[in-house]
Amino acid sequence: MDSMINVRNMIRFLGITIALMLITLGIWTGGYQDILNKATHICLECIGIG
Amino acid sequence: MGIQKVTGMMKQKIRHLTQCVYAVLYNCHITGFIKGEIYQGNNKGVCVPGLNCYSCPGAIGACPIGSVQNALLSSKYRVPYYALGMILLFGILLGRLICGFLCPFGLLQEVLAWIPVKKIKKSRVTYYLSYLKYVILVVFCVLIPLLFQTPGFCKYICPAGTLEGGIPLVLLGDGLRSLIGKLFTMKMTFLVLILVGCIFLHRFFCRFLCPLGAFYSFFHKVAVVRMVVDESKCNGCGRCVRECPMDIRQVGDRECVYCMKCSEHCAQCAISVNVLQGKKD
Repeated sequence: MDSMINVRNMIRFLGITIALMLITLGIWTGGYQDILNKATHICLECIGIG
Repeated sequence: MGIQKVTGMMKQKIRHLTQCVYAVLYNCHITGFIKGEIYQGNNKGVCVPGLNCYSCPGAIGACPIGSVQNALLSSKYRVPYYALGMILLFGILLGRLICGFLCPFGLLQEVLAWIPVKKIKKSRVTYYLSYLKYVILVVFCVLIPLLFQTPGFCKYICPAGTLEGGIPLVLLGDGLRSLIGKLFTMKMTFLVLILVGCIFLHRFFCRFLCPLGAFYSFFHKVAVVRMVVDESKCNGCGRCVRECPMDIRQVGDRECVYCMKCSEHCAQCAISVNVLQGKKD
């Protein structure tokens, strides 16, 4: 039981670390800017026009 | 009325209040609804956890599933680290709690379910249909953006985009109104069908079609916040699964959206939401 919780917590820790690393890498490589550009202009596909 | 029933009602009220607060928070750019323009602040690149179209005039954040598709579109030039990192973080922290508490479209579906008509109950058919959202995730959110360079889910299915973005922008802007074509008609038809479906089937879109819920469901075993059953209290009556409106096979599985109807009906008070703990067994 305890070992199962430990494994689960380890996966969580690993997952959160990977997610934060991906976000940092994404901001660094311009991924954030891409999404910002998309989000600040009307997405014609989303609203059913284009 | 028993204390357990009162506590259950309180939990539901807190949940509905949270859903309302988050729906307003995601869409608090009120002037956008008046002017028919979308928010263009520098923080709009931050994804919100729930399904909320970034073309909604009130939206102050980015839609996670739209961001992933957009990132995959440009994946030839740039690996989509940021969008993947965001939804991975949301998934591992909250799992499908997001569907039950933080999704505006989930709130809308629950409001529609209050319309008093004869409901279609969950069955083996609805259980198998719940796998459809995984097909939509793979085909419309991954394969179509990669192969055809178009955001498949946003373009052909997403009812949130039509409802939150399409309808207000078309109503408020003359320029867009003149561009309406077959695609808009198709998306409007989809939206109406989905909304009607939600009246007869609890969380119709969530259960069968939502790719974001499908993605978050992958984290049901490891999410930091989880629904757990205290095995020392559970007498195995199975009421939790019977009373749950979703297609669950056990409490806290991939279909569980943390609505807490199970804990409301559990006479043993064995079900709770747990943070950073494993299964109590």
